[in-house]
Parts: sequence; structure tokens; C-alpha cells
Amino acid sequence: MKYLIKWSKEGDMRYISHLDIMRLFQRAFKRTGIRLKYTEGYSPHPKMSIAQPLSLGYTSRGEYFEFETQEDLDPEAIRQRMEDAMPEGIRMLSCTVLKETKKAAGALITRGDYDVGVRLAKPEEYEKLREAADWFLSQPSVIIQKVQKKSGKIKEIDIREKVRALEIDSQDDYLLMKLKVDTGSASNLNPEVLLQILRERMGISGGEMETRIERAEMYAESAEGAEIPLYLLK
Amino acid sequence: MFEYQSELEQKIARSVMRVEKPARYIGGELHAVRKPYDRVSMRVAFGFPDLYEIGMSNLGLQILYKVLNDIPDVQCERVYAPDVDFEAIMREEEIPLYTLETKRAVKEADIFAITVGYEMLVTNVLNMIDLAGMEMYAKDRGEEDPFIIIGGPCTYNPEPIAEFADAFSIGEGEEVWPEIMEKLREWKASGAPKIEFLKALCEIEGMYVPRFYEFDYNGDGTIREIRKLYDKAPDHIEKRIIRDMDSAPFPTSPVVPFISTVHDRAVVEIFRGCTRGCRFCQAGMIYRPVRERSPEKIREIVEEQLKATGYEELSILSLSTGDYSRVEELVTDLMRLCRESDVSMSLPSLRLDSFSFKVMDEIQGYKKSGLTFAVEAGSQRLRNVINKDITEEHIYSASRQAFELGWHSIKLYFMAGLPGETDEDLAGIADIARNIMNIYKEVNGKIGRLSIHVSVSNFVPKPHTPFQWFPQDTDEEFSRKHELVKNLIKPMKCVRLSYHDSATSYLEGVLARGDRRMCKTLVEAVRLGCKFDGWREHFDYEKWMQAFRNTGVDPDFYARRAWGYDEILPWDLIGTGVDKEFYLSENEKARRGEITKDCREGCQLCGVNRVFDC
Repeated sequence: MKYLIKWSKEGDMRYISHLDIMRLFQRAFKRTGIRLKYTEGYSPHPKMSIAQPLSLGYTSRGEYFEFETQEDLDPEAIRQRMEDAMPEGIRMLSCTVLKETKKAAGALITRGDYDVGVRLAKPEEYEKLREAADWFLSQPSVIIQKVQKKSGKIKEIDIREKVRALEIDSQDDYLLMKLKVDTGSASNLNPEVLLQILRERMGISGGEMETRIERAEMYAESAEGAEIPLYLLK
Repeated sequence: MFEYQSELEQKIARSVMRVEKPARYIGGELHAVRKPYDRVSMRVAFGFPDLYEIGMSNLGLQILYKVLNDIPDVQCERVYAPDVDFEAIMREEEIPLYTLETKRAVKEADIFAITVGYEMLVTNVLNMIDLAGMEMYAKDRGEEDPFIIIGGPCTYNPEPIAEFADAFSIGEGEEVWPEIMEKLREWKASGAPKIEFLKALCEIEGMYVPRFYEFDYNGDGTIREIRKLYDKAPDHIEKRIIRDMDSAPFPTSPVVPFISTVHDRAVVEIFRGCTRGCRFCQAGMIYRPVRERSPEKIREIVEEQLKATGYEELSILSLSTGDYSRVEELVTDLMRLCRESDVSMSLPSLRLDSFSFKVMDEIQGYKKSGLTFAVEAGSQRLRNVINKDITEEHIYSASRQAFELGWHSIKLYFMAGLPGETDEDLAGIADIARNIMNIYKEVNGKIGRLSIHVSVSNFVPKPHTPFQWFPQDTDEEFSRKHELVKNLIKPMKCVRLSYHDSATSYLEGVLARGDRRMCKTLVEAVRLGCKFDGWREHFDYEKWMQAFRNTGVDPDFYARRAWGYDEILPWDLIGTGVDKEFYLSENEKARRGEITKDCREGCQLCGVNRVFDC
């Protein structure tokens, strides 16, 4: 049976890399005794994957992990057993059954929500940040240049169209930016890229802006073309 | 989003993203112990003076972590040496050395325990004390500072670091640590000055409080006398050991790291000690007598550990697996267990007989890794001198069998600079490699996939061994010997040679037999920037030599001198249970090329059974 677990990465767990999280899940399955299906071939590995790897240093309350088990089990029982096998800061929020299609659920992801907390050195800079955000939203396009990993060629990318929504809330001693951005293999934006553009507009360096980034949710398009959170995927 | 438990935690959070592998510095691993503050009355910061990945692989620390945290009101917390990138930030941002469990400064703990397993870690020990914001010399530390207690195999000669420790724990720590904590509890309740706790430690067997002893020296630099400064301090500090391995505490829920470490797997120790009596081997002497854990207990530990950790690999640990008395039964049973739970198994140091070939064939399948022989010396004559019980006939017949079963890779360990060694012995290293090559040709018709790796390490005379009086080779001599072997091996394309760095071996030799006069040299070395000396990329020989010059200490006096039998040795205060006379007679037998039998074949009267049961 194929399952999708929604999980969260809290506190210091943000310093654990994607690769190490993979090993953590693998060992957690071993601790629970839930047997995963393995791939065929020369060096078989368990059928499991983490959707859209999260950048090191980010927390998340909307991570997804899909896997196939040898036996059919009750999804809530899996969730509970995995939750018990995890260290503090990694929580299993829900577990659902997926149709055993070829395509991975993670490959269907198109958008993601992020909460970005921003603390600035000087109070007047918060106004500047709001201005920079307004400026960004008013632009028809904001082009950055990116060096392609494989070819080494420079490619121009429009960041503006990847930002679907940007709202700013005042908190006690910081600003909270709520972002909806393209997330997935077709089009993707790391919130840090947007922050860099805003800092450039404000004329401040990375050291003058303390940020906390948390992924809140990831979405896919349903068969009917609606944007749905991944856990509602059937 | 920006909430922190403390200012220190905030500083750490702001810093760790700027360094390589932040996960080294945050803790929170599975089975890490964190007790509620109000339930804790004594805190021990347990330090390992190397990187997280090395320290997390150390079984000793995992055992003592369990032993201490099993005491309800004791919180034991881990601390490893930060890598140079994080250290620079810590110093700049004024982040003191802190523990992973509570992210509180080491300086706030009651005891800062440090385990030292290798001579080249001593600068890291001092650097960690400094990073913790404490004075390096014990005499300069105040009433508010934690006690620094050092243990581990390196403390069988504690003198080069004696002035930095408040106390040393000599030998195995499982039983002694609860006793130390009881003394600490009493002392804390008494409100007495720190010196009273150190006096109380003298009542515990195996505890050495260096400030209660003073060394006097002769004009030629040798030791004239060791004087006690506190009359109730013991005359002789005998090591502590665990007598019964089955009832000894062993971690079944060890801390499981997030990042991959050197030994990232389940591990069970099957026995301690070794009966073979190789004369160069310190481990073979200091861990006497042999004490085995029963196969039933081992199985129980393995089952619990695999269940609690989810590890995909199991390794068994001892000085030589093949010497375990019920090895076939044990290995067969563990293999079955591993197969049932999809766990792979690694079996180090098996004796190469038909049983082990069957075992290795099964656990390695088509992915056959190399076979390893610790030959140690290139001729039977020299192997007799060092009492290494392995013959060329055995190596060749085992190799032939391995090649017939489809092995293609052999690793051979040797040493250079052994007592009584000649160039013929070194040439013998190449001969053995050549003979193995020819056997492969006979079996397979051609050299084909054969790979022979010859590893030559430099012999370092160690305290508490029959060769403790022996002058070490100079680094020029080591280099000449490496060249000699290299030239003889060069024509054989299938043989790869590697050897240890001579300067590192020299310094290891100096530190191994150092005395208290060397403490100031270590402080100077740290001041000059020496750290991570066991790491090739950090080791700076010139800085070390400068430290010796600046402090007026002659390193050759320790490493390259033939020590006298009648000398007082810096480590004479420390007892392993083995008599000094036994080392002496073994050294004499070595000179005559006589062997001493494995003590399973009859007691060789080393003396350990007068103190401990064999």
C-alpha cells in the first residue's frame, strides 16, 4: 500500500539536512517494524521519498513523505507508530492512503506557502521593507540572473511571476511575511531569493536582517484543476 | 518565531548556519537524555576532545553516558570539540563551550569529564578547557569552576596532562563514576571547599589526584623520587575494571546521530582484554584480564539495540573477535538474527579459518571486501621478538583459500622501527607481498583484479608494555625505512603501500612517555595554535618543536632515549595489575628472540591475577 505522511520539522530540527532526514525516516521505519517495499535490481533501496526538499535552516509544518509498505496497515496506526519513533521536533501530522499510480505525489506539487519572520536592526527599516514589498508587487516582472548548475550558462529568471501572494503582518517585535510561491519541479522559488531582492532594494546586507523561514503548506492541482493541499490528494 | 530559551541559545542559533555541518552543534538526537531542571541535582559535562563524528562513535562515552544518566538526579551531557570554523565564531561571538543536551555553558556543570584515547588529542583537551572559559592549570581555577576529571586509555600515563586535571579516573569507568557522584553529593551537601572533594576522591580506588604528588628529578633529568603531599593519598593507583561483563551496564538505547559518523551502526562489545601478549601492544596489557560477555547476553543486547535504534548495520567489538571462546556459536546466532531483521553485519578481526570463510562468504556475498592480516613484522625472527603469533604458512594458505573463493583484495599491516629490526626484516615485507601475488597468479592464472595494500605504521613505544624502555627511531630513520620498503614494492604494480607520517609518530612517542615537566610545553603549543594534531591538515610539527624550545623541554629525552630498568618511570604510580618485573622479563625474552605463549595455554605469571581474577 502507498501512503503519504504530512509531517513537521520544528526548532533545532531545521539544522538537519534532507539526506539526514531520509536516514532518520528509514531508521524510524526499522524501529517501528513497518516493512517498506524495496526497489528491484542490483542494489535495492526502500521505496520512499520526501517531497520538495526543504532548505537547511528552515522549519516546516507542511512537509510530505511518501512510501510503500509490504503489508496494508491502518494509516492512523502508521502515523502513531512513526510519531513515537521520532525524536523531539519531528512530528507526524497525518497519514493518508495514496492511489498506487506511477507518479510520485511530490511531483504533483505546484505551490507552497511560507511564513517568513523578519527582524531588522533599526525600527525605521520595517517601513522600508513594506515599501520594498509594495515595489516588488507593483512590478510587471523582476528579472534575476542565475547560473545553470550543469551547463554553467547564465539564465534570466522572472521572480515576480513566481510570487503568487505576499502579505505582511506586524507581530510584537518582528514582521511576518506570508508568501505563496511556485514550488515544484516545473517552477520553483526559494523565499531566500525574494528576501535577497528586498534587501537589495532596501540597501541592507544579510547580516542586518534576521530571518526565520517556515514552510506552511504545499499544494498540488487536483483532477478538477483546483489547488488543494497535498494531504487531500487521493 | 524568534523565541529562545536563553541568550546563549540565541547566539548559537545565529551562528551555526554559518558553519559546516550545523547538526554537530545542536544535539536533540534520538535517545539523547534531557531531564527536567528541577529533578537534577548534579550535572556532568562529558567531553570528547575531537569532532562530533569521531566522538559519537566512541563506545566508552556512550557507556558512561548511560551509567551517569541512570542515576535519577544526575544529568550527563555531551560536548565535543568544535571544528575550527565554529571555534572562530565562538571566540568572536563569545559563545562559551556548551553541552548539546541543555545548551548551557560547560562552566556551569559540577564536573567537566574528559576522555582521552589518543596522545595527539591533548591540545584539544586544553583548547576545550580554554573555550569553556576556564584556566588550563588546575591550580589557577577557582571555587566556582567545575572539577575536571580525565579518564580514558591515555591516562595510564597521566603525567603530561597532570597539572590540568583535578583528578584522573584510571581504568574502566562503569563502577567508578557512580562512586564519584556519591562523593560529589556528600561534598555539595557539606559546603566544604573544593579541596575536600579531592581528598574524598582518594578514598575511591582508581582515582588519582595529581596535586597530592610531587616529582623530584636527578641532574640527568630522570626522576629521583615521587613524594606524596597528602598522607591519605594512595601510594599506588590500581586501575578499575568490570569483573562481570554480563551484569555490567551497556547501552541498549545509545544516542543515534542525525549526521553520519565514523561508526554509524549498532555495536556490542563481546569481551575485554586479550591473551596473546604481543609485546608492542599497550591495549593487550592494560585491558587484562580477558572478560567475556555470554552469547545469551550479547544476543539480548543486540536485539534491544536494533529495536531501539533502527540501525541497518551491526558490528561486534573486541580486541580480536576470533579469540572469543564460543565464536562459532555466537557468530552463527548473530548472523541469523541479522538476516531476520534485514541488518548487515561486519565482523572485524576474525581468525582466518574455514569457519570464518564460510561466515564471510555469507555476509559479504558478491561484494567481497578485503581480507586483513596484521602481520606486524616481515620475518619470523622479528615476529618472535615482538611475540606476534602469526606464521607465513598461515597467511599463504588463508590467502590461497580466499583467492579460490573469489577474493581479490588483501590488506597487510606492518610496523617499522620495532626493537631489533634489521633491513632484512623490512625486505621481508616485500617478500610476503610478492609471495601472495604469486599465489594469486597460481590460482587465477594472471594478476588481473588482485590488489594488495601494504600499510606500514611506525612503532611507538608505549608505557605499560615490555617495550616501554625502548628508544624510538628518529624520523629520518623511519623515512629511510619507508623508502627501502617502497623501492622493493615498486616493481609490483598490484601492491599499494601506505605509511604513517613520521613526525606525528615521533610526537606521539614524546607525549606517550612524557612527564609533568611537559605540561608547560602543551600550554605553549596551544598558545602557538596547535590543535587537532591527529588530523594531517592541522598538524604543525614546526609549532610543536617551537613549543619545546620555548619551554626548554627536550623531546628526544622522552622518545629517543634508552630508558634504564632501575629508573622511576613517570607512570610508576599507576598500576595495570601487570608487574613491572613481567614487562622487564618480556623485554629480555624479546632480546633473546624467545616467545611467550598465549596465556590461555597456561598462566604466564604477568601478575594480573593477584589483583583481578583471570
